[in-house]
Amino acid sequence: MKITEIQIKNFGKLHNINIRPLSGINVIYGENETGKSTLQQFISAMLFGMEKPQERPGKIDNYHQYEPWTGGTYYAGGLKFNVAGKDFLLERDFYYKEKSTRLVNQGDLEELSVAQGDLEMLLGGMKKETYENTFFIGQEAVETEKEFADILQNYFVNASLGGEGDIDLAGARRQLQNKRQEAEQKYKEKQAERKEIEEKLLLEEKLLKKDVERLKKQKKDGYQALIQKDQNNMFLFEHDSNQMAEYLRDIRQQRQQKEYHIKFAISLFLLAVGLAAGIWNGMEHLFPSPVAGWIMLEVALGCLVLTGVAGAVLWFGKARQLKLLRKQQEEEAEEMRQNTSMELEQQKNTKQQKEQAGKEAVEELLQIQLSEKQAELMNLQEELEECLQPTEQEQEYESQVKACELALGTLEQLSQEAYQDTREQLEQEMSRILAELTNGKYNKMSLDAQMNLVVTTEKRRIYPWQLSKGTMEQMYLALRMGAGGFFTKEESMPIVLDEVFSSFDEKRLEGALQWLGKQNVQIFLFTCQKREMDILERKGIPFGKIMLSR
Amino acid sequence: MKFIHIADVHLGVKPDKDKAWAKEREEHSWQAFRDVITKAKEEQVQLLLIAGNLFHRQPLIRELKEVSREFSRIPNTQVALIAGDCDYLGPSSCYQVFTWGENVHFLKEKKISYIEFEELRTRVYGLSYWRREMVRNQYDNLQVKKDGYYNILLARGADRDSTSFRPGIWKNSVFDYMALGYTHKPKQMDEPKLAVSGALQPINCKETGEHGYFMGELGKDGCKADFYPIQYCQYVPMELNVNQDTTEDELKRAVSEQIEKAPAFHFFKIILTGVCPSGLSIDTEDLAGMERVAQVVNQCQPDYDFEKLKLRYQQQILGRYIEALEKMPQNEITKKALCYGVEALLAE
Repeated sequence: MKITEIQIKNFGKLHNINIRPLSGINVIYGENETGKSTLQQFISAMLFGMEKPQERPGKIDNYHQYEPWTGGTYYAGGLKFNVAGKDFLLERDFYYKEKSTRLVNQGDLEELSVAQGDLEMLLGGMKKETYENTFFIGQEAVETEKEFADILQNYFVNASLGGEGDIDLAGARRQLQNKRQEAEQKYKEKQAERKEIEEKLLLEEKLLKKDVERLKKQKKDGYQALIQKDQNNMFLFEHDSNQMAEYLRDIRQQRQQKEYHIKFAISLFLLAVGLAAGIWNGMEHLFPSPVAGWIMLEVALGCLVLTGVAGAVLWFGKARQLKLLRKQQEEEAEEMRQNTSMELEQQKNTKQQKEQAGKEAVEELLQIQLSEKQAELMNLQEELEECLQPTEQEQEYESQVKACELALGTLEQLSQEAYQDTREQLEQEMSRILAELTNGKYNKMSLDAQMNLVVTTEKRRIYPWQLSKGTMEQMYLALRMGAGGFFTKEESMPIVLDEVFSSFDEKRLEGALQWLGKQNVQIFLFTCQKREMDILERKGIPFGKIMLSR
Repeated sequence: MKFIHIADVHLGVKPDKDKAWAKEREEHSWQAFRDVITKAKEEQVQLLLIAGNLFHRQPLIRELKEVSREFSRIPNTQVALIAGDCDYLGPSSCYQVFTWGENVHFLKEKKISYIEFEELRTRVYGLSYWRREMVRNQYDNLQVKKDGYYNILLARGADRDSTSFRPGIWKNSVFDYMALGYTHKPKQMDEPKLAVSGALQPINCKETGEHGYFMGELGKDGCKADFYPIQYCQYVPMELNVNQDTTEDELKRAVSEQIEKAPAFHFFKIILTGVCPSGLSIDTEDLAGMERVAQVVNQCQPDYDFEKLKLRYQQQILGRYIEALEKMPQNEITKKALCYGVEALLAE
């Protein structure tokens, strides 16, 4: 296809402009804001149409961006072009209320139907996205986008596997990916629901286990320990009181007895002294002639002796009495002790029996409680086990996820197998272009599984972003030109290059322009510099000059 | 002698847990059990046979007390029961420590034993589950006294024992009645004296159809037994045929119409059959959220003629895709992947 005339009626800032480009290189020169981008968009809009999308705040679309500045409803243009030697006129009105397209074969003036796909046929089946990713290189899109990799894959699959109608491989993949995501989401939701129940059950289990342990421990020692303590306390108390009283009494009595014994000894001593003094006195002073004073003394001594006798008898008697009393008391105490111990024994027995019965009852109660808790625990554990099984819904969603993954994997594998040959052809073509552009410096470019560009130099795989900007742009140019050639086997499309060479140095630019000059295609080279024109003139490459001005 | 034969009462089961009527359903097993006791009282039934799984899990003392209270309502009825695979008689089972009333007879032995009811001139043979899994061939070579007494077998097999538990071979057995607990579907096996009573009430929505118990009589003319349904809950399959143009609203309308016509104890298991509406799949969760809908099973198949598609897209990716998936071992995932892939590739 060669564009023979561009008729801009009203498009963005441009109106009433007629351009007749050459069939080879056309340099469109203009400073900033002279309408270069508008002209580019006009070409694309003419070829592929332009829809007015739903207005979205904050988003600028082409329709609104290129609405005529003069306002009003006049938003239109025309394009004359030549395909396979035949001239056509394409006219479009972009205004959304009066949108229309007219395509006329200028040879026989027959009007063709755009709705029926006549225009698409003239464009060799190329779609807008494909065109904008290959031959139509805008300023901001020097790097190929992700979309381009998808387009390439689609193209290869369809080209290599042929057949009627295109299959949108990338679209299919997107659909499957969405489906997988949805199923995964639901799967996770269901799983989370189950996990929540599981956690609740686990907590309950923990509490129940604690209860069971407590009951087991109580059953084992808790109750017995309680009883033992009571018994001991009671015994100690009774025993203690008796003994203590006895002990105190005993001490008291012992002391008394000692006292009695001492008193008895003193009495005996007085008796002996009195007696001895009396005899001595009698022998000395009363025999042969008693003196009155001495008789008095004798009487006193006699009294002393009598007192001594009386005291001795009294204290001895008391001591004996006490001794007897104590003996009796001891006997009594012994008897009592025997009695009480028997009684206690009896009491103890009945108590033990009672306790035994009580203990058994409590143990039974504890056993029942324990059985109950253990049963509850077992049931809970069973429930937990059931809870660990994924639900039917979960299984369903899981299988959906797996099915999506299988479908995606299979498609990927099949498409790669399928376009292996075609890809190799493209790689060769790209490599050839790159070699020409770089004067043989780089001569091998390939595409990885995801259709991303890779360069191989000296056995090293390098991605374009690892190279200098100029080199990278050379590669993308080679990729686009090579791929573009593939997409337009029958009728080549005009190439639009917008400031593509701005990062190229003099040498590279020369190489690129020389290569372009050799191509039998129409080229629109948009630039705000004069160096392209200088080189073209110097190298004697024919080109058309279109100057835009404010 | 009049008897009632029940099994798989599953007291304590919680069906339809995630449904609005879950609480109601939890009560059904108890209500049904009480109904049986009442029936036994009204009909002056002499023997109540319980062929295992009276409880859904291990019974708790308080539950046993409740059951015992029910049994005490029928002091003139002898109750014979065994433990099943769900409420098996483990060493720490509450069955071990619980004391039953005089009319309740639990077969606790580790091998087949019997209880003799002199007044009824009846012996009931049986065996409780001691573990979750039963030892095989327990019922082979059973010796039975022949002295004019009625001999009844209380036997049980779990669903998963289907290879070892084959009550069908007992057709010509010496027993006068064989009260079996087995699958949850009530069934008389050719003759009235060999019956699986099924679950008293369904325990999940897979158990469609009627549920209840057998009541019968043993006499000189042999055995007569009839099935008596209990109707707190019955799951009913509702098959809905879907085609390309079916909308969700239409489905919902059809479902609610059928539900309105049905008796109140019917709960529904919806099965969608036919052809998937292309592109959009039916949201079964919406249907499953409807009143008295217990489950929705989507069995719709997409309306793809894979053979034709293969032929038409022979050398293209679609044809190759179908071929590749058909070569894989066929299972649920590969089948789904086939449909998903074809659907995605044919999408506009």
